[in-house]
Amino acid sequence: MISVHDLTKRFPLPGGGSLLAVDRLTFAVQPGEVYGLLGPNGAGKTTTLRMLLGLLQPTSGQASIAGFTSSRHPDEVKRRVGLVAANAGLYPGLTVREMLLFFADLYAVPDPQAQNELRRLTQLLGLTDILDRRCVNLSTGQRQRVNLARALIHRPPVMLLDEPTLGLDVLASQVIIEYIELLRREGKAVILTTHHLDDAERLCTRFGLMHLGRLVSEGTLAELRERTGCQNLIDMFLKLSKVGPALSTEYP
Amino acid sequence: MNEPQPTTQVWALGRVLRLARKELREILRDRRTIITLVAMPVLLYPLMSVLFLQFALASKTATKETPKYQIGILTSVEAAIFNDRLDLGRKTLLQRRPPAEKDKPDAWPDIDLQGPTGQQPTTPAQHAEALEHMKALLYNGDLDLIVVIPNVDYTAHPRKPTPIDRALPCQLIFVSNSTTGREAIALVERLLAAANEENLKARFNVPVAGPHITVLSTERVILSATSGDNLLSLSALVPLVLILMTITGAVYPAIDLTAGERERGTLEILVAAPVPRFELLTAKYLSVVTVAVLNAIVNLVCMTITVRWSGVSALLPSIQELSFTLVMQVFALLLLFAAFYSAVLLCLTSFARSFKEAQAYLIPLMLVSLAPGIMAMMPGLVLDHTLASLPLVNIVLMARDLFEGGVAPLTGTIVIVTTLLYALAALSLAARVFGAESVLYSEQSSWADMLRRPDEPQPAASLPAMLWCLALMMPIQFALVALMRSFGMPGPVTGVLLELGLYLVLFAMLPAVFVYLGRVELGSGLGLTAPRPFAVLGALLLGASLWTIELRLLEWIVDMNQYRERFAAVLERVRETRTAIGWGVLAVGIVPAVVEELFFRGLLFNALKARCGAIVTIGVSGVLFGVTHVILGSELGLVRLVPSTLLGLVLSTVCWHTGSLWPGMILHICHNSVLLGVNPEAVPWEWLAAGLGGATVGAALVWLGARPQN
Repeated sequence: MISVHDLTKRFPLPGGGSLLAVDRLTFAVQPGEVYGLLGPNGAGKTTTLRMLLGLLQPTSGQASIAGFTSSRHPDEVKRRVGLVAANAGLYPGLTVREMLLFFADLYAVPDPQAQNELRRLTQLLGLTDILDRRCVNLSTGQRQRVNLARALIHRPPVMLLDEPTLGLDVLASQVIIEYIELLRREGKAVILTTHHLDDAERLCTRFGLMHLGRLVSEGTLAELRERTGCQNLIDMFLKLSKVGPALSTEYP
Repeated sequence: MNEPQPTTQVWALGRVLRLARKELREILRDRRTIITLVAMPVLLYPLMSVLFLQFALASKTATKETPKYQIGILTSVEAAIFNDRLDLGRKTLLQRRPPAEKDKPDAWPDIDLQGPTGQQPTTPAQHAEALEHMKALLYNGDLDLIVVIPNVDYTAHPRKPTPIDRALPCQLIFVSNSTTGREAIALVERLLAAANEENLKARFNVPVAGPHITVLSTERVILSATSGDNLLSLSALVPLVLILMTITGAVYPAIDLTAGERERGTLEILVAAPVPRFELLTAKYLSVVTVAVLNAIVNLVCMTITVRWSGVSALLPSIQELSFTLVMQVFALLLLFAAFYSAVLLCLTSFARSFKEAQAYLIPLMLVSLAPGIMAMMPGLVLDHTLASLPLVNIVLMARDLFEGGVAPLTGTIVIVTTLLYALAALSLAARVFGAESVLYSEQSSWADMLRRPDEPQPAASLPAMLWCLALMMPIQFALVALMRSFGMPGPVTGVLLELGLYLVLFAMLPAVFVYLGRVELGSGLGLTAPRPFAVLGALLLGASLWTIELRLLEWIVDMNQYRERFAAVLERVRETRTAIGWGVLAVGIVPAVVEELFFRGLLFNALKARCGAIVTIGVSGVLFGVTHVILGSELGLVRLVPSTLLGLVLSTVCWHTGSLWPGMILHICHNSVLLGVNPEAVPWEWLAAGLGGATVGAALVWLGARPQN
């Protein structure tokens, strides 16, 4: 479903030269998988997701979703993806209902289907009480749930979740986590980036550990434990941050 | 791995409108929009009227308290008729007074009728001469108004009774910036209207047997002020205020829908949806234009109400009555302005990453916008063809001229076409910037990103680039012509060289910059394919024949007598050049033909061809060729539109069928060179017949030399 091959992104710097944000990344995600793309800040996770969605042009390599290359057919890719970003905002002047139906329209969802999906998502994500409230008046947790509903309104087979629980309290995070589990059960291909490593351990079927733009290690939790000698992701993460790319040579 | 076939992406107008509706809903729910939209105009115009009234009161005390209007009239016959009507008007108005006021003295200012100095005119020539003399007195301020009754037999006896009822037109001539002229007109119109009503009433009561009557129907003739009695033209102030208020209305939505979206984090989720960026931008553009237009409507309504009911209209001498037609004309102009300015605003704000950054970009723009606006208020500034292509100044001057009486059709056309071109160019640039990677994600991108060349060579220029090229031609031409004029009138040789230089700059050097920036491959971008021999022969024949049809067509559609002087000027110029430089005069025909073809049938044509079918490509490039010839200046003005457009359409058709730039260029060179040697005023029928025959054979040869299209 999701395929990334030798994906590289360089950003030009104002004084000349360039910044290598993603370096020859290769991985694949199948339907029913939640792939945890983990790494410290600046590792290149968000840039990778943006290239996957066709929002950024890769310098070299390619990313594709359902067989469509993101750089060549971004609209085909976008049609199949739901994006939840940590910094995504809502339209303050619209109500939750207006916002969700607006996005259904953008994704060309027929009106009866959009209304059904709206009902289903509001029940699942507990949005019924706030459906006619303007987005400007929502709490952080409510906003993130609306964002998740917004990303799901067109029933995409692929979900890109970029730190979806950032800034949420435990209860609000729990709703999101439960929903991601539901997505996996529904057979969607999900890529999740998060700094909540305990949540990642619970949710993800496979992990890709990134550092300085490179995928330094990839596998299931058991495989990573075996390779790194660390028992949990937090230890692996710390080790990764300290040793960086050397990890892959130490534990190939 | 084979990629699946993508679904065809169509431009969905319905979706654009729904997107625009959502944007509007959000904007109009914001109280900041409402404050700009309603509160400001409601407060501003009454406040302005109070200031004007105060200003007027202060200045009135310095002027004479009981005015006496000096009205010039050319003949005693006209004076007699006019006086009769005024007397009847006065009597009628006195009778209509309420009984309590009947005994009060007549409070109207005196009217002093002045005849011409010297003998009364008895021939049309003398009449015209006397009128010119009176106009001079009008400009000097010795007269407030001139009254002319054109259809009267001024050689007849003044008191000779008329055999039938008749309605005569009565011209009231005044200078646009004269306060007393305006007041005198108001009084005369009122008195004449009262007299006419009284006669009409009497005629209804005594339909047949009554005495025959002569009624006067008034028509205002406004002479534009040559130098200002006022330091600034007040009739330019009102449109300037309207335009500024329209700008104010558009600024906030433009920022909010672009930089505001980025700041809120909604821009990324918006561009992550499978909607083409141009559609998103079009929806935003429509929303900004709508708010700007709503703002214009509110302002226009507030201004009309204020002017009508505050009495301020009497203080704006050069502004004519705010009729419904005038209000609609000004509204159409504001619509045009909103379309232009909203595109400029979106272009700038699309580049900004935050509200603050967008404001930083817009403040200089607003200040820059004020400068031409204030310049347009200077008295004596005439909206000529050159100023008509200068953004913003053209709109303010056109609005001023509308308020003062009217705009010449050609000038109006130039204002509309150039403004729309500028709007399209700005919008195309906004589309390039809006949601672009460098703006959406990079914190370090610069304006130079917009000029970044593509990595790969492009087979044709982009349409936005060509639009920009066309839009930039107007101000560049304005600047270069102004620069040339500052050196005085050049001799024939220098004149020709300067003109050719202008052509090279506009149609060769400027497009070359876009070719470089767009990394356009010259072969495919210009259509430099070798033509078939038949096509070349056909082009030569067409070039040698078409002029006869063009000129005959011109004779049919316009009265050539009206343009005799202009044609004579063109011929004289060619003759002078021929005497000065001999066969070098051919450069006048060849150079413009070559560079125009490089642009119109080369870059523009192939940019269109890459995206559109035959009809759009031929139609758009042909019409733009015609319109550009009118806008970029010609002694013949608007009359050139039809022949130039026809020639453009023929050239584009030849280019389409032959698949090459060369036959069109040969046709154009041949056509221009032949025109240099003929008298455009007289095309004998035999020549026309030969031309038609030649053109038919030429077209057939081009057809034979056609290349199959991809």
